[in-house]
Parts: sequence; C-alpha cells; structure tokens
Amino acid sequence: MTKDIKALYNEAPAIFQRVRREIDKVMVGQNVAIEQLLVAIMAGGHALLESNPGLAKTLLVKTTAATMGLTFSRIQCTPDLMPADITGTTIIEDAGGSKQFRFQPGPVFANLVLADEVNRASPKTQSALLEAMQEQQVTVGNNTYLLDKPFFILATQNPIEMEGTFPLPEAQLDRFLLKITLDYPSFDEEMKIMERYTGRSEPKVEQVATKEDILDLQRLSRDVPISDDLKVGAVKVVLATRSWQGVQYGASPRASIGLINSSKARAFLLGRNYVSKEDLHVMAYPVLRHRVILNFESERKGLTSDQVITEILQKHNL
Amino acid sequence: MSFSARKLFIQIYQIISVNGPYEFLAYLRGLQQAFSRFETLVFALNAIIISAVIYAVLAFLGLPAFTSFYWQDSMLLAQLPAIISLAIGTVIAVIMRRRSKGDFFGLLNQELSEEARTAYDNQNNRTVFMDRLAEDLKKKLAAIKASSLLDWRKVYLRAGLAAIVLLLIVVITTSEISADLSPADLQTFSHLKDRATGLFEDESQQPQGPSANITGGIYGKPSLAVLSEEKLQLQLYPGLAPGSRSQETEAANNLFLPGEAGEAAAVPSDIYIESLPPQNKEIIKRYFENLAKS
Repeated sequence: MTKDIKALYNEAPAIFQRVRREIDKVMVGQNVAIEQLLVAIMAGGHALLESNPGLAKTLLVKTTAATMGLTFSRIQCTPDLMPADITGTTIIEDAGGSKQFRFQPGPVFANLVLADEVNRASPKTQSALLEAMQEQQVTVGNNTYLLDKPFFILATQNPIEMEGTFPLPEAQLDRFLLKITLDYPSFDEEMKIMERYTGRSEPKVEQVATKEDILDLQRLSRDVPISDDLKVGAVKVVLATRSWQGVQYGASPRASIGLINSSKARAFLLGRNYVSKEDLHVMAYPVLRHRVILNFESERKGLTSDQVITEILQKHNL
Repeated sequence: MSFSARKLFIQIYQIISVNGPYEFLAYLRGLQQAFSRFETLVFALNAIIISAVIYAVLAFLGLPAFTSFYWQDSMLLAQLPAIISLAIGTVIAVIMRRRSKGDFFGLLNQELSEEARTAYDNQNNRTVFMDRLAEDLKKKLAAIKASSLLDWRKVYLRAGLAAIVLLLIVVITTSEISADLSPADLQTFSHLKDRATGLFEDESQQPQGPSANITGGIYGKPSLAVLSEEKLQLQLYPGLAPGSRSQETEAANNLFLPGEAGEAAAVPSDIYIESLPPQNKEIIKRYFENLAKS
C-alpha cells in the first residue's frame, strides 16, 4: 500500500464521489452500468459491455480512464485483426549502423483497454486476449512482457448484426468478471443528452484519482467483511446454475469468487462497511448472466439468463 | 503492580478472552442471553400447555381417577397419566422449538441484523472495516433494550392459555363430567390382546379334556367348568373384572374359594359345580354363557 490504510479508508468515499461526479459530467443516466463498471475496476476484473449501437459504451470507458489517470487504448476488432495487432510485435530497427530487434508493444499495453466489438475479431485474435486477461502478461516469441497494473479489458459487443461475427467461447466469457448491459435512455435523459452535446462546447473531464489510488482501493476492497450466511448463499446460487432446468452450462467456481469480490467492491463503493444481501442480489446478474448458458429448449421459449438468475435468487432467498 | 493497574489488566483480559477483541460482542451476548431466556420461557409454557391439554383429555376419560384408585399402591403407576402427559408435552415442545429455529439476529431490523451477523462472523478479523463496523454496532446495540426486542405477546398469550387449560382440568377433576372408567372397560383391550396372542398359539400344544393339569396357567385354555353334567365350551381370561382372577394368583390355592352371591369366581375344577349354592347356579350359568359370547 502506498498510503496508510486508515487514511485511504477515510479518503475513499471522497475519491469515489469525485470520480462519479466527473463521469456524470459526460454520461447521462446509465447509473447501473456506471456503478457496475466501477465495481469491476475496484474488484480488479474485466467487463463485457453489451448494448445496441450508440449508447456511449466507448465514451463511458474513455471517461472512466481519464478520471482515474489511467492509460487508455482502443482496439477496433475486425475479422482481419491479427493477434500481433493486439499484443505487439518485434521490429528490426537501425541502431548506430547496426540492426537490432526491438519489441513494439501493442494496444494491450495500457491500463484500460477497450476491445470494441470484440465478437467481430477472429477466434485466434480473441484468444490472444486470454493470456493478457488472465495472466496480465503477454508472450511474444520467447519473451514475456508484464502488463502495467491496474489492467482492465473492457470489451463491447452488439447483440444485433450477428452475421459475420464470432461469438466468444464459454472459456473466454468466463474470464470476464461482469457482463454489463446498457439500456436506451429515457425521454428526459435523451433530452439532457441532446442539450449537452448540441452546444458549442462539449463537457470535459478532469483526472481526480491516480492509478496508485486505484491499486490501493482494489486491495482495500478485499477487506470488506461478509457474513457466513451470504457466503453460503453465494455458493448455493452458483451451484444451482449448474443443475437448473433449462441451463446447458452453469457458472464455474470463478463465478463464486467473482460474486463475492464484486459484492465487496460494491459495498465499498457505496460506503458500507459490510456486504449486504442487496449487494449480492444486485451483483448476481452481471456476474452470472454470461456464465449461464441456456439450452435450445429455453432459448426457444424465449427465456433469458436474467430470468433464470431471478428464479434461482428467489429460490435461495437472496 | 498497583491495584488500579491490576484491575485494568483484568478488565482488558476479560474483554479479550470473554468478548473477543471487539466491545460490541459484550452487548451482543447480553441480548443473545436475554433472547435465550425468553426462548426457554416460551418452550416451558408450550410444554405446560400441551401437557395440560393431554392431561385434560385423559381426565375427561377418567384415566387419572382410575389409576389413582386401582394402582394406589404404586406412586408411579397412580400418577401415570400426569407423567405421560408431561413427557409427551415436553417432546412436542422440543420438536416445536427445533422446527421454529429461533434466530436472535432475525429480531433486529434488516440493516442491524446484517451488520451484527457480519461483525459476529468476522470477529477475529482485524481490518479497518471491522473496526468501524464494530464501533457502529456497539453504539447501536447499546441503545437497544432486550425487552423491546422480544415479543412478549407470545408469553402473555401462552400464559393465559395455560391458565385456562389448568382451570379446565380443575373443573373436570372436581365435577362429574368425566367418564367413570372401571376395570371392566379395560376388559375389551385385554380381550383383544388375548385374541391376538391366541392367533399365534399352536393348537396342538393346548391341553384337551379334563385330564389337563390345572395347576398351570388356566387362562386362554378350555375351561374345565361343568354345568348340569355338561362341559362348558368356554375360556377364561385374565383381567380385573369380576368373574376372573389376576394371573399372579395360584389357581390351586383357590379351588374352594367361597363365592358370594352375585360375585362368582371362575374356578377351573371338576368339583367346582358341586361347590356352588343351588340358588346361584342359574346366575353363574348365564354369566358363563355371556362370557362365552363376549
């Protein structure tokens, strides 16, 4: 820790408040998505953002990076994108009359990486993200390069225009801590968006935290206490997804860890000294919705993962 | 070590060893103990009510009067209905207590309940969150009075119900409304038992004819009684009713037991018919015939 724990604990609510205020300068509405994105960052996990086009997914990620002083890079995924385009490559350069190899880092070498429309990249390229997401390192040739911390991949995908896309395999989906969905804004929110972005100047955000702050807050969020009842409840919910009728594949143990960690992060963000039942309930959806894979029969009936999660939570009184 | 320093050391030791590192645990334990006492009181009242209801039913059937009159020699048997009622009442109350699973944390409001559970489960973790949580909890729990948490209506309702049932018992036992149970009423049960036993008995082992040894058990076997020179086809049953004898009685000792009018005693003997007063022969004949039919 770079700061005294007590001082950081006391300062945390102010940091969160400032970050939120800066994001709100740019974003209108989408409160749940913003909260969940911050939870993912505090819990040290990657997030998959899914929404229809034009709902400010990219803007949200860029703004968050700017407020936290994190380096940001964007990868626009296309079918012809190669792994080296993400991880980087070794180039030959002239150094005082002689030639030498030098590693040119790819866009993955940033604190916050936005993989836009990740489902348009080929499976080969998608899998290049696997090592980076899980190990926080990149191997090119015989060399392994560590990524700077904190490191987040925020991938976006459109639920429409699925033609020519490569849906992420279950193994890769499981590596995302949260799947965040963004809805269309309400009438009032859309009016505000219109007013805000049709003037001469556009809102600008300031950096209100450092990446050291983020790393310290990540570590601190793990200390939020949680009752044994809730731990048992979380595990029961995750186990239930594996045997639930209409579910082809349930959530892995990574989901249990993710559910507890994200609940702790949410409690911390909201200034609570303990994890409540509500934290677990709210976080169960983004943590489990991409890990609960429905079978054909359920999809035919029009059932969604969120509906299954609701049923499971109700059954386990969470 | 000075007196005050020693006192302080003992206090710190007590806090750490008894209540753990956090002070809120002392308040929590106080409330938990009050809740535990309350639960015990409710359990006791439940046991009393259920036992009293069972006893009231038995009293209505006349069983306590029966046992205290006929088994007055044995204190245990005389009080058997009360003992059975108390045992059943206690067992049912224990089951009710286990099924209701009284949860102390459930008495607190949602927020406080979650805080208390979490703090209790994490009492051995020393983190900045736990320090702050314990501090908040201490203030909140200190402001709570145990009596305000407990639902005393439960106790009042049960106490009232117990008083009513006990009053009912007094009314039943002191009035004439209870059934007048006599040993003859229990004959039916005895009869059933013997019939059931008889089903498993090997017929070939049963003594046939008057030559059978009469000094052994005579019950459930063909009678040797003779009436008007004819052998009666009937059996004798043990029990307490007039006309039969308890199983413990030695048959041989009572061969010539004088019977008073209207109180005939069935005695298995060839000479039994001779010992009967002529004026009672018809009564005895009817008795045996009725006994054979029943």
